[in-house]
Order: sequence, then C-alpha cells, then structure tokens
Amino acid sequence: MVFSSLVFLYIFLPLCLAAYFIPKKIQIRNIVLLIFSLLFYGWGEPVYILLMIATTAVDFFAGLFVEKYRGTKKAKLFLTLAVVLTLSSLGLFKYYDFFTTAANDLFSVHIPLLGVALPIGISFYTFQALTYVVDVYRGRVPVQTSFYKLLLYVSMFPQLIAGPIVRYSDVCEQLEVRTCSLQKAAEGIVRFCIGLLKKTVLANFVGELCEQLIGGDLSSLTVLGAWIGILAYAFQIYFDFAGYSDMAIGLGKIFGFDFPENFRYPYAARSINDFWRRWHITLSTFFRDYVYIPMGGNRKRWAVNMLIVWLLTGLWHGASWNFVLWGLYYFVFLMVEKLWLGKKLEKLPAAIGHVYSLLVVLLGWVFFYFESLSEIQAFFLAAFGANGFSTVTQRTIIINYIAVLPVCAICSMPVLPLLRKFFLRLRSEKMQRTLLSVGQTVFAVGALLVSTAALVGSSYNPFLYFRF
Amino acid sequence: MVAFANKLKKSKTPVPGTSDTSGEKSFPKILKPFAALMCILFFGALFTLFFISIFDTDKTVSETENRNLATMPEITAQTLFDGSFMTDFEAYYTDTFPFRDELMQLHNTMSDFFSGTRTSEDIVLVERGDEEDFAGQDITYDE
Repeated sequence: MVFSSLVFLYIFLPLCLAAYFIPKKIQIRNIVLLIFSLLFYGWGEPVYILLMIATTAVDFFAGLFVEKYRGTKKAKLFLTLAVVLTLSSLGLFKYYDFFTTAANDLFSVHIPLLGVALPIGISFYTFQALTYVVDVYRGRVPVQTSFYKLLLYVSMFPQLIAGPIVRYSDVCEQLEVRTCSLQKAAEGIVRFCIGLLKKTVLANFVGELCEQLIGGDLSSLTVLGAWIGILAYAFQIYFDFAGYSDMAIGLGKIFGFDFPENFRYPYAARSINDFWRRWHITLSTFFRDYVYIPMGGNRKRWAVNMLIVWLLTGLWHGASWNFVLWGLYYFVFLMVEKLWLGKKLEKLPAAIGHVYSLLVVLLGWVFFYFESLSEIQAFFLAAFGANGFSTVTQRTIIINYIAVLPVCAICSMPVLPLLRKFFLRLRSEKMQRTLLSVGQTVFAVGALLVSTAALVGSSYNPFLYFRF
Repeated sequence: MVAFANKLKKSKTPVPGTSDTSGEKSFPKILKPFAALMCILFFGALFTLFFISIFDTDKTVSETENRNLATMPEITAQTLFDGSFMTDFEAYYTDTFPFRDELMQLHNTMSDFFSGTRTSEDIVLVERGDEEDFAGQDITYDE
C-alpha cells in the first residue's frame, strides 16, 4: 500500500488511528502498530511479507548471540553471518538477475535468471535491520529481547516502503516510552499534508510534463524540450521522494515517534558535497557510518573507499548500469571538489556555487531517468542541439504546463524558512502563535481536500466509445 | 530495558543554557485549542468519509465518463495470494468514492491551472467543423 491512495487515507488510516489511540498502554499500542504494519505490507506484498519476517528473525537471533558471546570471536562470527544473510536476501531479489546477465554477456554463458519481482521496500528494511545488529555488536544499543518489538521497528509502516532509513538507535527508546500529545499530532498532520500535496499535486503534474517531453521518442527531442524535460524530472523525483519522507515523518509524529529528517532543500546546495548533505540524508549517512568509516574512512585508501561507497550508492538505487554510472558521476565530482574545486567554490560568490551545483545535479538525473546507454546518448545529443532548438509541439506542451514550473521552483527552495524568519519578527508571541495556529489549521484542511481531489482525479478515465 | 530507555531519556534532557534546544524553542508551537481543532477536523474528515464510503450505496455508472464503474472484487484465496484482489479493490474504492463527481470537478479546476491548454502564437484556434475537414489529410504540427 502507498500513502497516496484513497484506501490508505480513508480506510487504513482511520481504522489504525482508532485501534491505536483507544488503548492507553504502550505495549498494546505497539502490538496494534505491528499488526497494522504487517497488513500494510501484506496488502502490496502478500507473499514477500514472509521474507521481511525472516530477515528480521535472522538479525534478531544474531543480536542475541552477539550479546551472549560479547568480547569473543564468536560475536564477530554471528555478526558476519547476520550481515551476509541479510545482504544475500537483497542480493538474491534485487541484484541476482543483474549480475547474472552481466556474467552471461561477458563470458557468453547461459546461467538462468530468476525473473522475480522486487519485494517492495526491501532496500530500505534490509538496511534498517542491519543497523540493529551492527549497533548491537558495537555496543551502541542494547540487545532487543522481544522479537515483536524488533519486527515493529523493521516493519513500521510509516517508514517501511520509502524511508527515511531510520536507525534502530533512533527509535529504540521510543519503542519503550513515547509521548503522544495534541500538539505533536497537529505538527504531524501539517507535515503529512505537506508531503501529501508534494506527492499528489506537484510531483504528479510535473511528472506529466516530464513524461510528455522526454518520455517518448528522443529523435525529435529539441534543446528546449530536453532541458525543460529534465528540469521537470528533477522536480518530480524530489517532490515524490521528499513528499514521501514528509508523510512518513508526519505519521510518525502522530503515533509519537521522531524520525530523522531526510531532505533539506537539496536544490539550494552550493556544491555537490553540500547536495549530498541535503539529499536523502539517511542514506548517505548510512553509507558513511556503516560502509565508509568501517573500511578506513579518511585515514587509509580514502579514494578507494569513496569509489566503493559511490558504486554502492548508485547500485542501491537500482540494479542497472545507468545507476552505476550515476554513482560514478557523483564520485567524480566529489573527488574534484575534495581535491581542488571545493576550496575555490567557498571563495567565489554563492551564486556561482548554486548554478554549478544545479547544473551538475540536473545532468546527473539524465543517468537516473534513462536506463539504456543509447537513450542517454540520444538525450545529450538532443540537449546540445542535434535536433534543433524547439518545435511547435514541444513549445505547446511547455506552455500548457507553464504554471507548474514556477510553483515547483518556489516549493523546492527554502522559502518557508525565510517566511518563518520574517514571521518571527512580529512583535508579540501571542500574535505569532495565533497566526500560526489559524494558518496551519486552514492549510491542513485545504491540503487534505485538494489531495483527495487529486487522488480521485487520477481515476478519471473517460471512455469515449460505448458502455458495454 | 525500560530502565535503559529511561536512562537514555534522562540523558537527553537539555542542560540549561545549551544552545541545542533553543533553535526549536525559538519557533512558537501551535496553540492547544487549535491543535485540538485541527485533530478533530483532520481525523474527523478521515472517519466521516470512511463511514460514508462503507455504508453508502455505490454508483455503478459514471455519466460524465460514459463508462461502468469498477465493482467490488470477489475475495478468494487465489486473488488474495496473487494480490489482484488488492489492486481491484483499490480501483473499485476509488471509482465509488463518495462525492467523486464533485471532487473530480475540483481536480479539473486544478488541472486547468497546471496543465490547461493555453493559447499562444503557436496554437491556431479553428472553428469546430465537420470531421470530414480533416479526412485524408495528414496533420503536421512542426515547421
């Protein structure tokens, strides 16, 4: 199930809220949340739910053994076993076919492919399960002795499918004690509504624009179409993903959890290094703390470590060569910044840094959007003038969607924080709070209405011929 | 376990004078009555539509779209197992959602703002004529 569906909003969520808030005891609430999380996952993946439970079980028992044999070699053995088993489920379901195809092509052999569908959210929950067992080994979190609590952590529906990648250490205390208050719930509602609007309105409309410009035949793509198209894709992927994270964080707050932030206005970055501190923060910090630093970090072979991390970051986004290229692309820019450009950028005016970062990120999305090398090549040719500057068809599409671009641009820049700063200059605190309260309440109700309309609108499916 | 959690909780209480929480404090929280109002309105809307959607009689035909709406799918072990029940149910629920026509109107207004056909020098408006006008011709768009 996804958040942006009417079944989630108007069946799943009200039932879950009622079942969660009627009992007062946290143990019962945990169980309610677990049951609903399993239903949430099972709705989309009725079979693979067993895989998620099995993965959690592996890390649960490994955690117990690591604790039992703490300080001995056996602890390390169990950690290794857990990491290998957890990653092998990811490897089997996500990467087996990719690497097998590569091997088949390279050595001209015929190893059969699995051809299985990717279990939803597997890239997220396997990483979450790993943070638990690794942190138990490192002594950073206490071992979890009840299986259902660990399963609740791994499967908790707000963050299950598309992040943020919540670490066990982020929530282990909240599994035992957490506070739900009206104000926190209101904060969560506002955050959820922001995310819902980003997804159902902005991402979907700008996605249509992107699809119409660069989703079809690339041989007639022009300079204007290519650049506006990839800009539209940049907005679509940001609002889609950041919107989902907002909804996750908001829902978490309603249920009393505090999840880590995942995006901080990435398109306002001043360098690529800065971009990766603002984009999908929980993923880049995961790779930093669980891959880069254990390999030696900055202290030894840092360039090799960086290369490995960025190859993995690319592959994490999908088992396909274009994602590998995408990761390498960022590796190159990060290396250049670290060795030479970074210090220069700091001295130059901020505007240059912004333009440079946006350009690099925008061209980076080309590797993300197109899956085949021939399409990537065709796109770059078009973007630099191979098929002319513009055509009537493409101008018409752009003019039709002209309103969506400025709205997206404003919403992806830190305008809200600026408004806040301005707002805080208001004289009395009472005035501030009243304005804020009225504004947020109106916003939440309006956003729910508009998003519901957008979701209903997605089912508009006129049948032009006849009713059979 | 709980003791550990409490310990963690205690260690997180801010030491007075540290700048750690001042950033959060500087922004005012929503007033309590409004928080309550927002919860009532938001959760109320979810529950109201939940009840209406469950208990109202479903329309079977959409006049504006000229098509039959999706119907409630059958639950069998097979459809549950392969997930087709869930997909069909989502289609059915969206098709028969309360106030669908009104919400669709709102969506169309929004659609017009974001993706409505706008006139420009590139687009030539023609009178709506007979279909035959275009018969046998290739309509070319590009220069």
